[in-house]
Amino acid sequence: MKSMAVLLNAPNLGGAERSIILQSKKLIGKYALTYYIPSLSTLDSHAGREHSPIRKFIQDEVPSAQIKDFIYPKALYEISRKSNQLKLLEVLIAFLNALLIFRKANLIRYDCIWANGNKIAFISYLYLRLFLYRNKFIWHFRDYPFNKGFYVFLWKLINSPFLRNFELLFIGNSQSVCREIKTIFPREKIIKLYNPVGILPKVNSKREEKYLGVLSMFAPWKGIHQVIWCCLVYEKKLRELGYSGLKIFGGDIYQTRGEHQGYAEQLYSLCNKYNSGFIEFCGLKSPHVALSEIDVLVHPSLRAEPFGRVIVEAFKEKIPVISTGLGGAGEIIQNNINGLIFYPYDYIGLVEQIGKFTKDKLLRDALLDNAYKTYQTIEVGIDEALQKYF
Amino acid sequence: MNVLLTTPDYPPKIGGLSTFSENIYNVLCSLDLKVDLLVWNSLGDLQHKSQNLTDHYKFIINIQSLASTVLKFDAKQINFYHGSENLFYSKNIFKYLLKRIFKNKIIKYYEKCHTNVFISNFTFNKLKQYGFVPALDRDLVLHNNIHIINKNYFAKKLDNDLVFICVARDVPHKNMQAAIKFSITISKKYQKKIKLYITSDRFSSIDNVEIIPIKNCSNLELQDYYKNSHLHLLFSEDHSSRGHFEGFGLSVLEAAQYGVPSIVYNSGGLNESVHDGMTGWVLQSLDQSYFTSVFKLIQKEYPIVSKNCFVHTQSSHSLDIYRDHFLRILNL
Repeated sequence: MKSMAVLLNAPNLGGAERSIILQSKKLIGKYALTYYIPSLSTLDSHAGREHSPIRKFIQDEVPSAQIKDFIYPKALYEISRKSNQLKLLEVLIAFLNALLIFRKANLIRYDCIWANGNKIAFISYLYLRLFLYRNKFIWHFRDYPFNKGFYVFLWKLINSPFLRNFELLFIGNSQSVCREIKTIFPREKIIKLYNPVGILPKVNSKREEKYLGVLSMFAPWKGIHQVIWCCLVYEKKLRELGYSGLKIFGGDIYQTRGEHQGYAEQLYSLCNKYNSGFIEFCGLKSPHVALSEIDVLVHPSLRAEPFGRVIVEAFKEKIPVISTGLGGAGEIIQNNINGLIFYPYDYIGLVEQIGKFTKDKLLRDALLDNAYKTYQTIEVGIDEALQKYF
Repeated sequence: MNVLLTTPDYPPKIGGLSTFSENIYNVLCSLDLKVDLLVWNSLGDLQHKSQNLTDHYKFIINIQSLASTVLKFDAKQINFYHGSENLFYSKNIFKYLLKRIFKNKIIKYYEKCHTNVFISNFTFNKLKQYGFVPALDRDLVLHNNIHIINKNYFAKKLDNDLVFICVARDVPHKNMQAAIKFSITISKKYQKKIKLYITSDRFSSIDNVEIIPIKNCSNLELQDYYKNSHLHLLFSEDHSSRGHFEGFGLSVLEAAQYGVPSIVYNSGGLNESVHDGMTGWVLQSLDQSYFTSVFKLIQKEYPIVSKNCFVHTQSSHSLDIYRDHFLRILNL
């Protein structure tokens, strides 16, 4: 059996990590899998790593897999989070350090290496070129490639065939992301691979009250603040529609500087300023638990979403979805077919769409049926793509 | 509750800001507030006039944000941010330097306000580029809204002769010549007679494009021109480095209330006022070849987009939206 190293991009169990674990799980039988989990500090306790949610998720989903930890330099981890205090020298040292870490892990022994996200992919890609790797490298874009400033130089470097002896395959998690990759790497092989949902355990949720919900990491572009503001302004209308509140699941999972910094506190402060009892922050919970506690999912991203995994999870759980439908999310959700669309910052528009789902049972049932079919089509597509390209 | 509304433009003066101020005034009055209106010509004038006022206001609402830098009351201030006024730019080198010197101080004033209302996310991001530290418990993006006059939708077709309209101030960044170029290109390619209403008097008819200047028309006449048009054209460019950009594009809504979708260029806040392919079309290029290819799509999508823009404007861009928001912001 061939061997595959799956390089994870973050130590937290976010949507991207869930997705690659479930995608790679489908290759059991073809590959012996080893997962590499990055740790951002040598100070992380061994016990802490042993009981981390991401490790537990791998152990549950892929019991036969090996799991290894490695230290990922924090300066590199934060490079894409727009920190304004990063120093060039600090990054350079961190970069050399990362190469040594990969050398120590001896990654070139694997038949296939699947890197999940740009931070890990870029470093491992350079390492593999320097150490003359000869097998297959898969670069999985979980977001749109940034193509300005220093990144233009980086992409040129990757485009150059010099010293590259291995097969390179790019994966985008939506057609929208693939299009962007194609503009940068026109000669390379690029495939679309949607994110899978996997098995979501059933949760018995007995409750009489109805709730709106948002499941998202906390970042301004995720647009959680516009849903909060909508609820603050239109609380009375939403209550008249039968909703007892808005539940927000998620947190500042990356805890980095830049535009993410302070977003969570600003959301709490907004709710406190207007003293609303309608909005509740529920912290981080597994998607199946969070979905069991809500009746409508609002997906309010303000810029193109690379995929929008939570939409498909809601489709599977037959929870109505109202989304801004930007980027990859727009490939999944079709207005009035399997969900409803609202425009960014159209607060009353969001309320009207919620009303549509609530008042028109026939429409709701039709949309939910179609949504479930969309989920099934996506899952079949993933299986087919994995069989074809691996 | 006593509220002070300050603005540099108010009817009988004409223009977008003047209409905006009147709309906000009417909305505040409809909430049974006691509203004092202060119209100013310059910041010095505002400072002078404000000295005659007693400090008994709970809220001060500034239609133009710079007003908040000179008003010395204890009242909570609510600022509107439209666009170019916060580019800290002037053609006059002396004024330019002054604006740059006082930029940080002005921004500090903004950061102390109770609520900052941005008419588009683009405007919000622009101010952030100048060092404004956002706080989402204080800053709000609220797209423009209009006084809806028309309530009825009349379906139109793009079959025969076409009527376009371009409503904008005739200044360089509004790029009115692109509307002419678009009309000529479509007329030639699709062999159509086109009538173009345009708020400028410096263009004349060419071939099959009849250009009708409507620069000094009344508001009532303008409504008729909108009503009779098929498409509204607004190809404003981002001239931020020269002190101008399109904050939102109010005329997009004015046309849309008659089911007239807009074709706009992707600059400033125009991609927020027009939802591409849903309530209008956002062009990525102003090339002639692009015009002809995109018009093919426009012909196909026109009936549904026309209806969409009408419905969307009626439901999401009426003055009721301001009313709903003031109820919350003023805690009424």
